[in-house]
Amino acid sequence: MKSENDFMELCILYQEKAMSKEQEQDLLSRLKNNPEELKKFQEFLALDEHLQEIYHPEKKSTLFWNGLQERMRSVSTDTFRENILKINDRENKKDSVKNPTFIWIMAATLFLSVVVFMFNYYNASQDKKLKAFILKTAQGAEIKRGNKVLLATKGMALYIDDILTTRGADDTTEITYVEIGYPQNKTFVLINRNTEVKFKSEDNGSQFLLIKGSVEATVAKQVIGNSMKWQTDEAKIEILGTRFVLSSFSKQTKLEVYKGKVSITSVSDQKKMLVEKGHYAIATKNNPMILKPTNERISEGLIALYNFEEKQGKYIHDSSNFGESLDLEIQNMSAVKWSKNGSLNVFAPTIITSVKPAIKIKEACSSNELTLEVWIKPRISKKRSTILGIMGTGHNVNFSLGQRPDNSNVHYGVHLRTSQTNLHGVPGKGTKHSTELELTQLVYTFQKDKVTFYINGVKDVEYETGGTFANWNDDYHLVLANEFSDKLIKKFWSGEFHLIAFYNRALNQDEIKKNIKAEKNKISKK
Amino acid sequence: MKSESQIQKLIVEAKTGSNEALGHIVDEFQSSVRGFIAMLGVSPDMIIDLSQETFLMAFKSIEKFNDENPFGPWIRGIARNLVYQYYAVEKKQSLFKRTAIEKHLLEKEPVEESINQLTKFRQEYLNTCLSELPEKSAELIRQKYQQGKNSVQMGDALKIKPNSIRKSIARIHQKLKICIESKQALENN
Repeated sequence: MKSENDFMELCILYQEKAMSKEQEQDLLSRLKNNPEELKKFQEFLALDEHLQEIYHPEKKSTLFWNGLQERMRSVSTDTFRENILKINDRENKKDSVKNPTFIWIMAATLFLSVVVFMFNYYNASQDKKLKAFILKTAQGAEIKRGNKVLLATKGMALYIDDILTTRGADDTTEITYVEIGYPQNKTFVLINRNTEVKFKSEDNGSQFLLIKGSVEATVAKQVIGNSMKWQTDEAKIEILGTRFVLSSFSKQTKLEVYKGKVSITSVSDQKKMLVEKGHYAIATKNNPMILKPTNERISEGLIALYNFEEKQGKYIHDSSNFGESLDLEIQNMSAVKWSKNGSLNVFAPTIITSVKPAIKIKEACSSNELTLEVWIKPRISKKRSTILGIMGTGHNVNFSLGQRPDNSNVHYGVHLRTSQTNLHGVPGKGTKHSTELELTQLVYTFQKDKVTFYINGVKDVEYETGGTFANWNDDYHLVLANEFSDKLIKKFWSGEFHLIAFYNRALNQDEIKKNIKAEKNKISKK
Repeated sequence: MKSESQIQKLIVEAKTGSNEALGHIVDEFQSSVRGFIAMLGVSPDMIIDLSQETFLMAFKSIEKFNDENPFGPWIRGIARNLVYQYYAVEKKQSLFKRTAIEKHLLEKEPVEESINQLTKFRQEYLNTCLSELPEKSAELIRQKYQQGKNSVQMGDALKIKPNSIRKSIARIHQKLKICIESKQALENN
């Protein structure tokens, strides 16, 4: 690969983080030995950055400058506080206090500092009135703007009266969602599938109308009187800084609060309620509004969830409400048994696969973070077996979790495909300690360049690793209790599935413990 | 593009605390700082942060800057030191492993000819050159940069081998580079 075109292809591979070790060595050697190619590579990187700017307007000059001004203000506010402290110190000194001229000078300085601070604060709140931008979108999302229908694309600004629409499972096989936000304000709204949202106003805080469907929002602390507001047919909601999910289906509005507090007013009787963290409210036109506590399980970043509560049938449903449901199908019903209280016992060779490729997991993990949480009760086995994975044939995986025998206990191991492993996710990583043959929560997190295992909420081991998920295969399916093989007996896993959850971020230990608290009592009763 | 004397004047005003002068300086040098940091091999998701930090550091210490010297090399020096510090902190926290290529890029200063291309008007030329691309090429670039697709994904969608997609994008990059350079040459003449 020595021509100029070959060199440029290496540059593209580098930019996509899709180089093999040999290609990396080849590129490095060319950069070290050929100054002209080094220059071209540097210029390629700069052109790449400028092309990113063209297609991502949130990086344009005004937003860059506004972001910079905010950082500068935080510096000047600290300086203001330092000045105040210094003034306070001086005022405490007796000889300074006795000097009336000095007192007037200090008072004037203090007054001017307050004016400057309030002016900057006002500017900061003005800056936060920037229009919302589309930050992420899957195919199929549209904006109705006047008489036009536009394809919603990353970087587009929203205008007053825009209606954002995402499609659902009924009329498309694609996952559709849109994330909008005010990047400087750290406020983000995820518009789920089959949802319509109208952007109503920017006056006195951003105002949205949820026509149908559901949204999930993380809202930075708002200025009172200038806060984000949502409206549905049944309710008006004012947010002051929180995280919530708002849904409007079948003539009812449900508001679930995960952080902070949200005020909700029923349109029918004007009754107002304050919904706090860990609670939800339901408003309808004909009935009084109700307020109840929610399950404490972590839902932020949840992209797939299997509770195994079906009790019968060959399908296991994905109850995450994220994107399009990734349901699973049991191949051999005589190899499994549903428990009465909701778990699935696999006792003979079979394979359980997703009905469609697990592309939503790959797409949701675009930040190259992942958490897998499983609640299982394994059985002893003399051979290695595969508990679950996102895989193709021939041991090729995006991800797989396996069980290894260790006398009367079990160890677990994960193969995760990244740009720094091969197609089988080798080298894999394993737990340090083994577990007994009882109900176990196992959590695996991948974040930036480290992998962490937790067993029953306790950190077991951490490894340094690296790479991204850019080389994950879109066609692989989620598979349970086996691998794709001509002989089902080879890698089949025997045990009970109680819960499986995927997140698109690395949960921390507190969050993992919260999930244990939420699930333990529920599962132990099964 | 502002002359050296106009930039000197802006710096003098910035030293007196003029916010407007600072804004003009950012406008003049933003593209070149970001392009320069990209040339040092920094990950794309860190370029904006490090660029803003560069200007922040520059404005904090602008009193010390001798406005008879050119501003560009000075602010690029700040950028390079910040990138070094960023890698040093990441290494200490064991969160980041630089590849050999990234290490090599940080050690090798881009040549003046490359830096001189990073002018304020580059984005304007780039926009024009993009509009002059044939529709198929423009669509490939849109899919790559606007939709964030890689060659495998584009190849799957278009039923073309990823290698062919990469070859096409490489050719488009070359075309854009030549187009920008010719427009810059015309402007300079």
